Amino acid sequence: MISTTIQIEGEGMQMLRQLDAALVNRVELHHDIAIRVENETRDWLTELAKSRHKTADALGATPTGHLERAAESVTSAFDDDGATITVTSPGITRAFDDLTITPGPGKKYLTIPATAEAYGKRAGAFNDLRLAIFRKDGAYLLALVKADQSSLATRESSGFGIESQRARGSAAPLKAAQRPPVYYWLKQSVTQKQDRSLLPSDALLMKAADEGVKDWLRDFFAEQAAAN
Amino acid sequence: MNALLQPAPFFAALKLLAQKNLVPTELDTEQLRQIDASIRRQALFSARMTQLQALQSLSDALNAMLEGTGNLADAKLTLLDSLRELGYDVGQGGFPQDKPGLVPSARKGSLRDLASDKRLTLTITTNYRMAANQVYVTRGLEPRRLKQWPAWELVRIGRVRTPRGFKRGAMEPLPGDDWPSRFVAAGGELFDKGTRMIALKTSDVWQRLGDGAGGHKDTLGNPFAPFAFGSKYGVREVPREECLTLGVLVEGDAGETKLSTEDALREFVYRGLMPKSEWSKGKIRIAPVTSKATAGGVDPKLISAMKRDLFKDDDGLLKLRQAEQAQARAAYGNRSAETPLRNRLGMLCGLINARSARVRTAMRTPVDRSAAAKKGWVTRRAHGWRPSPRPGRAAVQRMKTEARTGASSLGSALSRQRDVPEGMTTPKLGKIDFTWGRPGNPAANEHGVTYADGYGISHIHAKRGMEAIRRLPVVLARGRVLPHEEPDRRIVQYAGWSAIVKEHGKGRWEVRSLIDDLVVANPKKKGMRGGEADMKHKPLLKRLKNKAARLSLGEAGPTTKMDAGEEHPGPTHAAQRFAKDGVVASKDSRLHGLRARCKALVVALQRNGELRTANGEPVLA
Repeated sequence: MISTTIQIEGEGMQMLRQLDAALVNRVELHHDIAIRVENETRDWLTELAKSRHKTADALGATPTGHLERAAESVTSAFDDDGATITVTSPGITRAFDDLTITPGPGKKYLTIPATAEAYGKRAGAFNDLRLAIFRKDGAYLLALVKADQSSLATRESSGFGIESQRARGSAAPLKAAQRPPVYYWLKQSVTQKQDRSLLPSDALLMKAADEGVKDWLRDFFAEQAAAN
Repeated sequence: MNALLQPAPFFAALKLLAQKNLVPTELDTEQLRQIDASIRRQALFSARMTQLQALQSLSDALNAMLEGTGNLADAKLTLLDSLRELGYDVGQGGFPQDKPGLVPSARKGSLRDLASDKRLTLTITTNYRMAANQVYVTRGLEPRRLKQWPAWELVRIGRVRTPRGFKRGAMEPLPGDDWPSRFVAAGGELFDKGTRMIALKTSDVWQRLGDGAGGHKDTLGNPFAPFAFGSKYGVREVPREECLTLGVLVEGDAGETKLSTEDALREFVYRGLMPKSEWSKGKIRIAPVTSKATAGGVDPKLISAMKRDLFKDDDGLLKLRQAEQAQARAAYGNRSAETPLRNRLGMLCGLINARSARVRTAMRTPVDRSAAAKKGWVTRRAHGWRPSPRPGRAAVQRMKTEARTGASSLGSALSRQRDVPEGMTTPKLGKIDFTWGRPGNPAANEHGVTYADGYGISHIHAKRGMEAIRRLPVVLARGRVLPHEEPDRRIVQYAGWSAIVKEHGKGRWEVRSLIDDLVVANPKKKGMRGGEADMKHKPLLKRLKNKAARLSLGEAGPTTKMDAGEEHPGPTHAAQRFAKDGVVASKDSRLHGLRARCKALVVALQRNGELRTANGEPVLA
């Protein structure tokens, strides 16, 4: 909640009285504040959208553009009680608290993209992925891998899809080229730490709100001057 | 749960999307460009997407994104699943349901392949951005906002591999294709040493940019972003002080952002920002026409003539200024044009003044209630009965429009089986959301009530059937609002049906149920809430139902406003009689709607200070 204090110095008791009367209904004041804060939030998200592509860059993938869409979805509403800024983006709530992502209804695992081709797509978009279980340091890792396109009969794996680090009958580990390409890692849940920088800081928002108040005052004084 | 952790729907864009018609088409992009952009904006389509089911999936996917419950990957999968279900195969000419040869084959994985990732991404992101930006630009033209933020700046909003102005995959420049060149070709100016592309919101630059000024064929025809396919450019608002500093705006430039009613409407229509509007041959048509739509179907020459020649005399009656013959000829063009216009103006004045005068007279004349008693008639009036005020013609028209809007939203909710926010708006309640809810348990509970734990549209459909669904928008539009025993609920009652609505936000209501034969004599009495529970009061219910059906429900309409700023409590019995005498233009008359619209124009002119007295002074509202 942002509150504002308006201080007027110098002479002008009449102006004070008029101002006091004008502030009884604060709809226009909140309107001006809402627009300033809305535009501040839009500009912030737009800047982030141009530069923040850590996962896409790590995988060498095309960014999905979710921050661009978040920026374009910023809207504001206002009434006598205050101003509200709305951002429509599932991940934006991470600005306020840790975000724990769990599978949707009827699903057991989240699919975390592991390759550029998989980034920005759901696993269901592919029709040739198979489940693979990797063993590493005694732990099991579930993944969706690209099925061997050559021949299922010659696939080097057990019937249950457990991928061994070693080829059958060999003590040597599988070479990288022999391992099936992992498209998605499967996880039961993922927790993303809060990231306040997804939205403008409180100081910036307060500054924008102050600008909104100044807009309203400027307009108010201009109207008074025109009336006189 | 913390409200900040819930996704917030983009209501305005959802509403815009809900108004679009799904239009399957076999046309390609170039052929679709030939269709006027204002018509294209009213439809949801994709080039060569010939199946309605696929378009429905696209609409569902976009809805989920705008509600904040889905992302781009989900949307692409939804659309892809639909294409797979329909058996789409680009190599075989598309959908098997299409006629052979209707759509030419294309390379798999290309943009012409509807199932390719790049096509799915382009289709979804383009439609999403169009909805979001149309809302942003429309809101940016609101008068106060326009005054304080008078300009847009074209800015990059996302990263691309190859910017426009360079050949894809190479750094070889394409002269004239970059955005600054396109902006200048559209008539725009570069500010701040040629680094910023800024133009006033009311400028035609934006429409020309969307039309591809300079010969560009990759544009969408819209005066809002995205201005071209695959563009990562959007707009941001520029505040007034920055415009003055940069020289976009000049201080004291009269009319720099002021728009008269007519100009504002023309701008809206010209830019196609009002859905289902058209501008052709100098006439404006805005749909749906409500009592507040001011210029629908009115000849602009008439509007100009009204501004020039109408004035209000000391009695508050509209009069026509007497112009010299030569002056009149000059004003109206030629003698043959002069007479019909002046006749029309004169007729309108007569209609407006006559109704005003007669209604005022009727108010001053008390109704002689003793006359009936002298004749020996035992009337309901003798027993103190007074008819409820009948809604005026404009109010009825408004209710019909609201009901149609509600029916359309309800159809959308039923077909998609999901919530439709702001399904309709009524003056008594405000915004009404059609919540899908849940049907409830069909087995009867211990009170004998079926579907007792249900609520929302699914519950009404399950329990009452399609008849109730058809009645619901009419009940909400025309019904009277009564208190409910729970403070956050209301009963909206009309013609024997009662809708229960619950407040779930400031000025927002959701429909919970629709009941028939609800006892309204004492709505606060406990236990009298359900249809089944009331069956024992059948005789009383029947009398009340008949009474409700006889009484005119609804408030007095805006036609009770005689002049701007002047209202009376409602039409009296005598005024209703006058209305029947045809003092106002009858429904069949050509002038019926025109009169209402012109009267609204007069009010708008007065509000804008454009209506003058005989001395030429503006008539104040």
